[in-house]
Amino acid sequence: MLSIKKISVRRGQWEDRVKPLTKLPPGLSRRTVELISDLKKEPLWMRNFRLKSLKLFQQQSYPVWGPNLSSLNFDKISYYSSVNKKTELAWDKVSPLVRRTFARLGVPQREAVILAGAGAQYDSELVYHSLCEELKKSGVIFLSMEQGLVQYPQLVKKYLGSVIPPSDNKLAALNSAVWSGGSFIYVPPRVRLVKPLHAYFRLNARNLGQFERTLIIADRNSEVEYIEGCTAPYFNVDSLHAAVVEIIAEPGAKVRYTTVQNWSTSVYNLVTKRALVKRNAYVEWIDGNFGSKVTMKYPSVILSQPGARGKVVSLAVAGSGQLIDAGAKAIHLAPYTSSQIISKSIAWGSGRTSYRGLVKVVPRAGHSQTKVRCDAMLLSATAQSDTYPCLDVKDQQVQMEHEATVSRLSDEQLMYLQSRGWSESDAAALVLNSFIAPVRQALPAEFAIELERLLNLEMEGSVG
Amino acid sequence: MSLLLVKNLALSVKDQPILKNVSLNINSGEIQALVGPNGSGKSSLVAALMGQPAYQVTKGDIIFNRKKLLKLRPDQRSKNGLFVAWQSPVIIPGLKVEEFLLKLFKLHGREREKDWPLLKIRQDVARQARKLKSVGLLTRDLNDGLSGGEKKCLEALQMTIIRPRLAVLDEIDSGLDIGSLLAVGKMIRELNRQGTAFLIISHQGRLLQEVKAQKINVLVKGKIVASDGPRLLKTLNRSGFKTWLKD
Repeated sequence: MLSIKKISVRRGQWEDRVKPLTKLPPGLSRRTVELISDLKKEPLWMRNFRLKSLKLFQQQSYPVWGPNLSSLNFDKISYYSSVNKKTELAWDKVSPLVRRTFARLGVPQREAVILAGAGAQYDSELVYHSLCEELKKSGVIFLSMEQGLVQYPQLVKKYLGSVIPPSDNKLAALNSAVWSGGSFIYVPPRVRLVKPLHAYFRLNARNLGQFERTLIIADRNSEVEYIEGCTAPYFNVDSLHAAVVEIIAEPGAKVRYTTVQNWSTSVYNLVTKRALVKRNAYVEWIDGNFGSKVTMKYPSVILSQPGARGKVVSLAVAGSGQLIDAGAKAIHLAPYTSSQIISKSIAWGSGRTSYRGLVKVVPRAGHSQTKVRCDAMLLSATAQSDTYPCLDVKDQQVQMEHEATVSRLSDEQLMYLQSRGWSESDAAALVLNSFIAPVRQALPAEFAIELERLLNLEMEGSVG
Repeated sequence: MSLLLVKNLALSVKDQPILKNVSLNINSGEIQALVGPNGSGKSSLVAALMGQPAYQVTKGDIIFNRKKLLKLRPDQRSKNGLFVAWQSPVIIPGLKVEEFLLKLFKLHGREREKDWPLLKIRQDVARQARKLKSVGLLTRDLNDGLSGGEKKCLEALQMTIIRPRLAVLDEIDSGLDIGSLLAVGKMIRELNRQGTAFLIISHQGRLLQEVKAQKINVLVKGKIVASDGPRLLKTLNRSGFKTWLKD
């Protein structure tokens, strides 16, 4: 019989021999938060925001649902580490070792061809951030969060925490207390970015927590696409990635946020992502999860005004030792809103994937539509998949669709394709790539190719 | 010239003997039929020809296109010109039929033939699909939500794209309406003119008459009990397999 020996995922797992300039010792206290704030020379209001958030983090307990996080020890994690003094505007100013890593990950190459701007975060700080001149002239802001705070304090103060307040959940509180890095993006009314912006997150130091904070404001009738990628070396101690991403889509705006998450399997990836979608605006989350030890991530769309639309497309691939608990939330607060959720997951070895979704429609949000489709594929007898859909619909006039399937890669499928001339491993790759086709089609071409290379199948087959 | 030679083949599934002693010889360009009651081992023979791992050959040998077939993997058998139209084609979610057929085209080197550009391949696929009145199939997922007849049409379509040396059709006519049956019959004759040999497994005489099968083999309880020309069909139509089931 046939079985899949291994799906090798290209992880970018090498460890760079880069010595941090500043690294805080493990442990989290009021002092830690103050040190981070001092390092960034922040205004008092931000320092207080952090300290208030720390209290919330300490008071809050873990969610009662989802993966068990009790083995994650917050005292063994370092909350800040940087290898650079400032964020550079040109790659040749970035230190050679760090630059080489981003080159190996293809960031400068992609920037030259398909991107409007790029940012590269190494551990806690951005080492590089740049936006093409033309967009700068049209008023687009694309900065590190730290630069954003210095140059546009009013905008940051107004919007930071407005979609995801520190009190939202324990990890959002933690991020609000110790955040470092991330992007600040503002797109003026009617400005449309043809090429995407790209941010790459590299977590290199061992037992480090990376807490980037991203805020995207798309003003009326503007359009922007943002792509993030992430990798880390594997360590025998746990690292933590707890990001917060907030999107505000003003009336008529279009935002697409794509993630290709490929952390090593020693990283806890606990991320809160949410978009506030206003009248006739559209927000799309494309979320690919390949790496990490444990992921909890449920990109959300809050459809706050009539005509708002949201879409969440996610793909999870979990092998042995991995638990990917991902999904989506769509909250319909106004009539004539629509949401679509497509989730695909593949589990192999003893890996486990879960789909967790919430669709909520409040009273008076009638004439809304929602469509949920989640499909799981299991590649081994020990792989596991669970589905936790939650529909909370308080209005009668809502059009709902929900469809969920679990399937296995079967010997019959492999035999059928082999009988048509595909080798065993090519047959398996074709079945898997077909299964994830809806996600692949949603990705920009460059990343779709990357996705196919990412999933390199190795089959163990024997006849007889 | 002999294209497929099955010599004294014995076959087991999970150590249960299925075929006892089967011999067949199909020459290049020939059309032969294999008939027999349900459970006589016809589909098992097909599975063994394509090399399904569960079907163990315990005795005998198969020579195909001058090669020892049993030594080849299923994909190599396909590349050597062996095609099977399966009785129950499997579903592959997300794989669009048109995309799959275009991949088949390339996989079997057909695009090199006349310097086929992609557009021409598409046209060819669409033309063949029109013959089967199954153009609507092209945008569907492979075998997903298709009727029995539609699945069979899709098998026939794949056959015309691959243009194999030998096509083994396992009940391709079951579930087909009369129009599609005639279209499939025409496809078989056309491919046959271009040199493809056929082994057609069927419960109905209609397709066998349509394609003028030259030789009819009767398989009963794992053995070939009779082989003869088209007149054997008349005996079968009259009295079924009674003669051979007695003992």
